[in-house]
Formats: sequence, C-alpha cells, structure tokens
Amino acid sequence: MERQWPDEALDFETGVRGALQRAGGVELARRAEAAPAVRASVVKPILDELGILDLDLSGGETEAAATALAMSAAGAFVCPWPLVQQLAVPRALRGEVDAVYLRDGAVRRAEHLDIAGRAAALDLVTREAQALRVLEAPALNGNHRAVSPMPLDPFGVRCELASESFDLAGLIGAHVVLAAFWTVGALGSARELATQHARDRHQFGRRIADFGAVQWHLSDIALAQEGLWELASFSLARLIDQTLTSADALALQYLMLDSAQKVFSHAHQVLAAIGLCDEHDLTVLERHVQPLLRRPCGITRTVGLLAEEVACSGFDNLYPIPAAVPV
Amino acid sequence: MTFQDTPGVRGLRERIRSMIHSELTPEFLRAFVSSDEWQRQATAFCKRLASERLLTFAWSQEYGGAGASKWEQTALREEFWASHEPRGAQYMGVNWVGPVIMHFGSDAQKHRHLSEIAAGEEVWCQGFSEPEVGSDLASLQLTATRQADGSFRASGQKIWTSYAALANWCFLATRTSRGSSKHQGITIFLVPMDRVGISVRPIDSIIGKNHLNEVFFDDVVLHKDEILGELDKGWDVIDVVLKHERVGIARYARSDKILADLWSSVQAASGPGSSELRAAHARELVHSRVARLLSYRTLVSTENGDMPTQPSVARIASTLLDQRVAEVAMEVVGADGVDSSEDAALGGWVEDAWRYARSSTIASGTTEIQRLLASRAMVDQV
Repeated sequence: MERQWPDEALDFETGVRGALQRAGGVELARRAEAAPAVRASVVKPILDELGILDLDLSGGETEAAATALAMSAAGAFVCPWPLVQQLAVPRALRGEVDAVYLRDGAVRRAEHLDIAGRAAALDLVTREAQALRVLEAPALNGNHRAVSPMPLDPFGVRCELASESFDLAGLIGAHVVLAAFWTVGALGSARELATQHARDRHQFGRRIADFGAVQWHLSDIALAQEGLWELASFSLARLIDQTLTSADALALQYLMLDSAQKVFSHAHQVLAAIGLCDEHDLTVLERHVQPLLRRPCGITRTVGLLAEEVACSGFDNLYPIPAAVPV
Repeated sequence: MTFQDTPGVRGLRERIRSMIHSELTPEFLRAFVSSDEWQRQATAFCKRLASERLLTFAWSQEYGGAGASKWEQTALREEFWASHEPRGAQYMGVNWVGPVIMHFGSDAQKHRHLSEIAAGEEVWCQGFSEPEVGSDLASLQLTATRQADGSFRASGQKIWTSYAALANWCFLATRTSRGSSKHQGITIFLVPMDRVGISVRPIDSIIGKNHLNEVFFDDVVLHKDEILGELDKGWDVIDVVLKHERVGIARYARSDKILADLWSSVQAASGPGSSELRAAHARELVHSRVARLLSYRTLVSTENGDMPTQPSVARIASTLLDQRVAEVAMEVVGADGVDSSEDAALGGWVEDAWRYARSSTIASGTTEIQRLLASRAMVDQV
C-alpha cells in the first residue's frame, strides 16, 4: 500500500492554489457571478498560464495525480470554469468533445455550458451520451448581468439534448472522481472558515471553540471532509489502475453528496448569521458547488443506483459482496 | 499510489482465515462470547498463534515476534476483529502491554513478561478507570503510599476493567504524589492479580460476561521493581498506551464482515421496506470502506507526524459505523433481532452484535473525547 502523492503533482497543486489565491480566491467566483465575462477575460488566461486545461487524467499516474490535486485547489475557490467537465474528457477525444456533463434522463440546465465548447451529456444509467445544445444566448460578453439569476445555479445555462451521440460511457468514473476532488477542495475551505471562526469568535467570555456543541460541529466537519478526501484518493488510484467499477463511482458520488451536506450544514451552524451573507465566502462556496452536487441526481437516487449496482456487480470491501451469478 | 494489498499480505489474510475456521467452532465465531468453553478455545488459539509467531507478529524477533510490516500487522488485526477477536482477553497484552513494556520496561521486566506474552501465557487487564474518574483519566485517585522499605501500599478501586477475573496481571495506574498538575504524580505498576488484597467483582452488563469488572485494592503491597517507567511519571507511559490503543482495534473490519454476512438476506428481502433496507446496506458499505481508509491513513500519519486530527477522526468513523451496521443488521432480521437462539434468523448472532456495538462509542475513550481531541487539533492548528 503506497499512499504518497508524487512530488511533481504536489508542486503543481501549490502553483494552482497560489495563482488562484493571488487572483482573488473566492472573490474571483463572486466577480464572475456579477460579470460573467470575467470567466473568459480573467479566469481562462490564468488556467492557460498554469496549463491545467492541457492535463489528462488518463495520462499516467503523475499527471492523473496532478489533475486531481489541481481540481481540489480550484474547488477550494470554486473557480468559475467548467474544469470538471472539460478535464473528464481525455486529451485524445478533445476536439470531438470538449466537455462532458452527467445526466439522469432529461437535461434542462448545465453550468458554464456557454463557455464549455462542444459538450455532451452522459447518462448515469444508460451510459448513452448526446450532444448538448444551448437554448439561451451565451453571456460571454455580458459585463453587468449574471448568466443566471438563480443563486444556486449562478452559471447555469438552459439547454437540451441534440441528436448527435457519442461513445463516452467510460468517462463516468473520471467525471465523478474529478467532481469529488473539486468538492473536497470546497469543503476544505468551508472547514477552514468554520475553524477560524470558532477560534476567533468569543461569546460569554470564551472562544466559541471551547463549547462542546461547537466542538461537535467541527469534528463532524473533519469526519466528512477527511472521509471524502480518502475515498476520492482511493477512487483515483483505482481509476489509474483501470479497476474503478461503476459501484465504486456511485459510492464516491454518494459520499460526495453526503459529505457536502454535512460540512456545509455544520459550518453554517458554527458561523451562524455571518455565514449566510453573500459577502462571506462560506455562502459563495456553498451556492457555487450546488450545481455539481445536485446534477444529475440527489442522494436518495444515487444510493438507489448504488444498491442496484452492488446487487449486480458486487462491492469490493475487505469482505467483498459477490457479483450476481448470471442467469 | 496504490491501496491494494501486496501478495504477501493477501496470503497472510488467507492463512489467518483458514486458521480461524479450522481452530474455532462456528459457535465461537457467531458472536463476542465469553463462556468458559469459549475462553478455553481462545487460549488454545493463542497458543497455536504463538507456535507460529503470529500472536506477537508485530514484535521484533528479539522479543519473540516475527517483525511483521505495518500492513501485515494491520491485516492480522483486521482478520481477528472480523472474527470476533479470537485472541480473547490476550489481545491487550499483545497490542499494547508488550510494546509499552518494550518502550519503558527494565531488562528484568522485559525478561519476565515479554516471552510469556509471546507464548500466550499471560492475560492482562488495564487498571485505569475509577468510579469517579472516567474520561478525565489524569485525575485518578487510587493511592500507592511509599513505605520505609521502599515498597508501596495501594488502596482504592478500579472499575470497568475488562477481563479482570481472567487476568493474571494488571497494568495499574496509581497516584503516588500530588504534583503541581494532575498529570504529575502518577505511577504505573505491573502487578500480579493474585497478590493479597486484590479482589474482583464482575459486573453483569448488556455487552456480556467478563467485559466489565470492579477491582478492589485493599492495602496491596507493590514493589519498587514493579514500577514501569519512572516514579511519578506514569502519564508519559499512559500517553503511549493510548496511542497504541487508538490504532489497535480494527472495528471497521467487524462491520465489513457483518455487512458481507448480511448480504444474502438483504438481497432476498422483498416487499415494503426492502428497497430502503438495500439502500441502508449500500450506504454502510461505503462508510465501511471510508472508515478503513481513515484508519490506514492514521497508520501512515502516526509515523510521519501528520495531521493530529487523524487518529480521533478514524476512531469516530469506526465506532459510529459499528453501531449503524448493528442497526442495519437488526433491520435485516426484524423481529428475530431479540432472539439469540440458533434457529433465529442468521443463527441469532445479530442480537449479540447489536449488544456489543453499544459499547463501541464508549470503550477506550468515548466519542465525545475523540470529538474534543479532533476539534482541539483543528482549532490549535494555525
């Protein structure tokens, strides 16, 4: 068992984190929400400079690790660019397809679709992929209005499925792994905000971190965020080894949803009213990560799909659940 | 980066599983049991392990072990916990008493105890908790008073002492002086349980026989050469004990095995509630995997000195998992959940598994203490 990240990948993550921090961190997401053109005019050049968009998750262990860690660093600031969707597409397929979104049946909206290039929506169940067609004029040049007036879907674009189909069935695992790293990065930021507030905020003559109820919230945040990090890393290793199963991917998708729900709800309780304000990073992190969490489906549906997949293909734990015997 | 067992570790797992199934009766394996017959099985199993240097597998060869790697030790712990810890009362001696004696013991103490533990001959109990001292261990009150001849006299009470009635040795924490802080003035003694003045009263409990006892010390003579480490500096020893304890129990392995054992019943469930049951089972499969990964991370970080939240987070994940999985098991067997007879659903083991899980968030440091440690580490980490 070898858990060490490659040094090159760690260095790359540090570079991404530093560059996005210098560009404003979460403020960049806030600016892009107010003026969507910021994505093309400010965010894209930073990503180009870093070389993130050239990364390939299927490009070997070091490159895959760099991709995952870069995703976590970008997620920490909810970087306003469809990085998960674009990097889920292997380099060899880019040009034919620039971004892949997951769907569960019909599709009505997709985040950043206006800047994603040629995009396809891949069905989580049928594994069929079809092109996505934008139904609204892109807001690339709009400096004074949001792409979407919806707080939980700030870069959502109305769209529909087109007739063109693609063979992208193998990309579900890549999408889920990248989404999990993106999310765990955002959860890490929420954790830092909650921890810092618990340390700095004093009530009744004590810092609130000294109250048992607050300690309870903090430990639940750590449990959820660190658990997701571990499962995402485990899943990445399986993706690299090409042993990631559909059940593994659904397990990670479920934990991503579960952990996000827990971390944000506990962080809000620690931060109380200040955490609800748009000027506070917590609420921006939570709102901007929602599209990735809520699409293509929620926890109950995801767990249902997982249970079906386990029954069919088994689950590889210490004591494995066997795959069903073909009739 | 890989999370796969090496071929050597895989082979070890197969060897242990085979040994467990050949040496122990199915009745033993169905539950955490403590009858005299099953204690005899555990003792015999420990001797078999000792004969193959598997009892003290992790120890160096110098002390009768096999010098196993970290991951081999982990596999061994997992396999034993998944099969209801067939080392019985001896797991404490192997997991932490021996290693702590190696760390702090005199040559005479090492010579006296390590070979006996390695041979499966010594059963230990831990004399830590007291009636007024639970989580706040440093406030312990059992007093050992120094005598003119250099020996000590101990009087007081310990409680919740697992396996005290079976043990031949006690790892006893005493108060030998009152320092400026409660962590000072504690001394550890290694005391034979047949010493005059020691008496044990078993406490019946929901988790079964032998798990909880009271131990009374009535003017018990303790010798100077029974001190482990330095006089009044026993907290240093306890600190190392607690670190060993936190990584010594692979509870998630037990949960993992239970989820596998439930599978055919979960799969066969039909009618109202069956899809919810399958969903609950699927969720815990994921959390079981996560608890295992968090524990593995702790093993690595203990060596590297990484994030201090890790042992507590791993422990919280495993103990909460234990109880949730026991609840899923209860849901699977329905009304038979209270029936421990062999003709009950799944042979009646669910009843025992559920009762035993009740202690997982309390034993070896409550969940609340783990939460306190985790949150404190987060807040103090700048």
